[in-house]
Amino acid sequence: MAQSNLEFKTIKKIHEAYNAKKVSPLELTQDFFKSIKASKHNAYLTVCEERALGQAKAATQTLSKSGKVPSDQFPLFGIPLGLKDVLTLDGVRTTCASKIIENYIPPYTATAVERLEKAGSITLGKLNMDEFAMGGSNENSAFGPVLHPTHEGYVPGGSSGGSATAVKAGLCVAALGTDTGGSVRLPASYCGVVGLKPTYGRVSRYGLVAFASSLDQIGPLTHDTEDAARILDVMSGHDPKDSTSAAMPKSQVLKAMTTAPDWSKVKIGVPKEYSVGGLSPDVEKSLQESLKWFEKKGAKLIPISLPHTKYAVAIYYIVAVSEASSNLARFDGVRFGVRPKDADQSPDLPTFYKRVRSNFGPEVKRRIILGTFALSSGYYDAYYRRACQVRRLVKQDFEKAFSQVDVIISPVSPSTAFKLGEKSKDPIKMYLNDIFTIPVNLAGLPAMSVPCGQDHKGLPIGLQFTTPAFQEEKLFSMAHAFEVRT
Amino acid sequence: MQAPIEVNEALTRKISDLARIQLTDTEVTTFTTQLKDILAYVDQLSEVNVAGVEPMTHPLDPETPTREDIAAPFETDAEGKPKVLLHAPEKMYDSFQVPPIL
Repeated sequence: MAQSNLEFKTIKKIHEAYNAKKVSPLELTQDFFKSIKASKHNAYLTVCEERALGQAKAATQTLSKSGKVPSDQFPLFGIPLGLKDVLTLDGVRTTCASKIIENYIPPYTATAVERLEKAGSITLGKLNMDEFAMGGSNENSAFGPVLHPTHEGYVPGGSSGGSATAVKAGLCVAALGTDTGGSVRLPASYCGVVGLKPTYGRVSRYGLVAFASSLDQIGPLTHDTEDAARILDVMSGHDPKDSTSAAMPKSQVLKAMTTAPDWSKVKIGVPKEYSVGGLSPDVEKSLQESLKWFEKKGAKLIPISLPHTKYAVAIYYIVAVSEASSNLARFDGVRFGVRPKDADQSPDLPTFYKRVRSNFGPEVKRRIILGTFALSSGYYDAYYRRACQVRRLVKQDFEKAFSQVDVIISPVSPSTAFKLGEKSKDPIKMYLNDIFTIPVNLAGLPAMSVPCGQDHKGLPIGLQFTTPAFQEEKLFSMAHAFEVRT
Repeated sequence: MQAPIEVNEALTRKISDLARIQLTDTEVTTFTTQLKDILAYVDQLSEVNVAGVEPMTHPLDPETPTREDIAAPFETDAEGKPKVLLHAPEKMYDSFQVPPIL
C-alpha cells in the first residue's frame, strides 16, 4: 500500500481520510518520518519525532473518541507541518542554518507556530534554509544545500528552500517559510508549490529571528491555495507581542475564496517593466498563456507602469543589509549561541566579539559589512537615506497602479530553477533573480506564487499575484480561481 | 551625491572592525571586490530625483503603537531558574558570564 503521506496530500483530503478511518494521525505522522528518513534532499535540520508522535497520539485518541475531525475547533487537526528553522519552538533547536547558533534551544515559541499548534497541527521538525534567510538558492546553509525536489542538480530556490522541497517531496503537508525579498515565493515557484507572502503586519513576527524587520513576513508553502488559506486564517491577527503586527482580526480568506470573482468587473494590471527583456522564453510563454486565460474569463488586462522597479534590487540591498547589520549585532556569544575557545581567551571585548562572529557564513558576513558601511557616518545620507526615499517612490508606483486595477499579475522570477553552483560566485547575478518579488516587500503588500506551467526541462514556473495591502481575500479568490482554471 | 568612494582593502578592514567581524586576508580581498561591484550597482539610485521625498523606513502608516510598560517576570524552568539562561554559553549565579575585559 502507498504511504499515506503520499496518498493524502492536502488538509482537506487528510481530514476526509481521518473521518473515513483510512488512516490515523499517528499512522500518517509515522509515514512522514519514514519519508523524511529516506529522503536525500537535506530538507530537515532537526526532526522532533518524539514530540510529534506525542502530538499525533493525542490527536488519534481525540479522533477515536469523537469519531469525526473536530475541524470547527481545530482547523488543522492532526496536520503534520514543517517549520523553517528561523522560527522558534520552545525546547527545540533553532539554528537559522548558521554555525553561530547551531546549539541554540529557544525558551519560547513563535506566535505563528503557537497558533498553528493550538489549531491542532503536528510539528515534524525544522527545515533547512539559507543562513539567516540570506540567499536565493539555499546554497548558503552552514549545513549544506537543499536539493530540488524533482530535478537532480538544481537548486530549490531560497531562502525557504527546505520548506518548498519538503512540501513538494512529501516530507510535510505544508510548511512555514519567511519572505524578506521573495524567500517564500521564489522557492515555491522553483519547486512547483503555492507560496504566500502576507501583507506586512498580517502575521506576528514574534519568534521569527529577524533579518530585515521592515520587510520580513512569515508565510505558508503548500500544495494548493486552499491549504495556504487555512493556515493564514489560523496564524494571522494582531499579537500584542509584536508592535508591528497590525491591529486587525484574523483573515477570513478560506470563506472568501469559495466565491468566484465576477470576471467582468476584474481589472488585471500587467506591468510593462516586468516583461521588457530578461524573461526566459519559457517564462514569457507561460505568462502570456496565463494572461490569455484571464482575458477569456472576461477580465480586462490593463498595461500599467511601475517605473521604479528597476531600482528595487539596489534599494533592497541597502535597506535589507542595513537592518540586518543592526539585527545581527545580537549574535555576540554572550547570551546564546556558540562561544569558541579562542574567544574566551581574548585580550579585550572587541576581539572576543570578532572571534565569535567569525562563525557567520560568507553571505552573512558580506551583508553585515555592506549594511555597516551603508549606515556608517559619512555614507548614511548617500546610501541608507536615499534608498529609503526611492523605496517610497516604489510604494507610490503601486498606489497609482492600484487606483486603476484590482490585482497585478507578473512572473515570480525571470527564469526557472538553475543548477547548483551556477550563480553562487556572483552576488549581483543572484540578487537579480528577486527583481519581481522585492518590490512587494518594499511596499509591504501581499503576494502569492501559484504554479502556472513548466519550462522545456519540466522545471516549474510560478505566476505572481499582488493586491493592495490587507486584501488577501481578493488575492486568494483570484489565485484560487486561476489554480483550478474551470 | 558626494564624490565617488574609493573602495579598497583598508576600507573593508575598517568596516569589518566596526561590524566586529574578523575576516581572513582572502575574505578581505574577495569582499573588497564584491563591495566595489555592489556599490557600483547601487549607485544607480543617484539618478533618481528624490527632492522632497520623505524616506520610507517602514511599510506601516501611521507609526506603530506603544504598549503599557508593565513589568513581567522571566519565564522559569522546573527548578525556578530563568529560562533565558538555559542555553547561555557560560553562566554564573543566574547571570551571563563573559571574560574579564579590563
